[in-house]
Amino acid sequence: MNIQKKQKSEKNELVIQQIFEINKTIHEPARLFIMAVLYQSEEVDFLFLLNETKLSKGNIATHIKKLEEEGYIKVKKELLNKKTHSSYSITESGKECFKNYIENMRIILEKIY
Amino acid sequence: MERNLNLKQQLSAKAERDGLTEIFFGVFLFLYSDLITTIMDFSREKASLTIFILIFAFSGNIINFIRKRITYSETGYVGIKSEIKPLQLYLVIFPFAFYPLFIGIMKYVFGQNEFASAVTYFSPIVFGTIFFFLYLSMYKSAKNIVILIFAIFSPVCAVTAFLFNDTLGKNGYALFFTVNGILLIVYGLVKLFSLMMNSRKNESEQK
Repeated sequence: MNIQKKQKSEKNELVIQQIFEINKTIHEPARLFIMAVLYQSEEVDFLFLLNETKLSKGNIATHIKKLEEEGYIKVKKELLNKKTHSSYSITESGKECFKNYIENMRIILEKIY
Repeated sequence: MERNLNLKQQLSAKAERDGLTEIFFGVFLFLYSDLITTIMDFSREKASLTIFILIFAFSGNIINFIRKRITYSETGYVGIKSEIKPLQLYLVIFPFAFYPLFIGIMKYVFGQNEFASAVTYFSPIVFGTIFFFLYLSMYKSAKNIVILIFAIFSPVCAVTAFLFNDTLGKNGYALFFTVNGILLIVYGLVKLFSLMMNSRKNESEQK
């Protein structure tokens, strides 16, 4: 009986540990959306993210900057119709971190229920 | 209409909402039909063949160029990874790409005129099957019902073209490509028109 209690307690500790070890950069909803979209696509532009998330321009730019600083996404700037056009794609390290994040979340959710 | 799509399918639907892929593919089918005719009688000018090859080689880049600058300049651009599965490669892309080459080699390298004619005669059936799988794979990427209807219609059109092959002077394949080309171009234009209307509506609402 005590062994079972001990095992259960260890399991709970592991889940708690895993929850706190989750990638906080990706876990934020707007950044999670951006990462998920970039993971499934080749390239998206700023306007697409703006229209899909309904967030403000400044807000999106902040999230993009954060992801870029972490090395998860690549930014490409070009001049289109006399305006600067920014498009984004996921890096290899971004793909790896996103896959790990999804796997960790799956394990956590399985253990919670 | 709400559909149960995963993120990849939703993005694919958004990437294809301007109808440019359908319009380009429709035009490509006209040129493809012309290519087979050129190979079979070799009497037409080679210009169409050159245009065909250029469009075939650069259509992806041309579409992306137009999308970034024109069609999605107001709504935002999303580019989808083109993942080709082995089954798709062997059932659709290889037969489609190498069919004219096969006819050309049989006719001009091995001098098998009758065999080349026989292959051309059965081409509506061959392309009916290829197009069925092609439309099916297009349907799976974004679960577009219209494309599913095209997939069902394609073998029907192929059989009809094959049955009327003699009446059409063995040019049943041309009928098949023309019908498919027209359908794709019309559908593409409808999508493009709807996108433009929605963009204008959103613009006026924002003002």
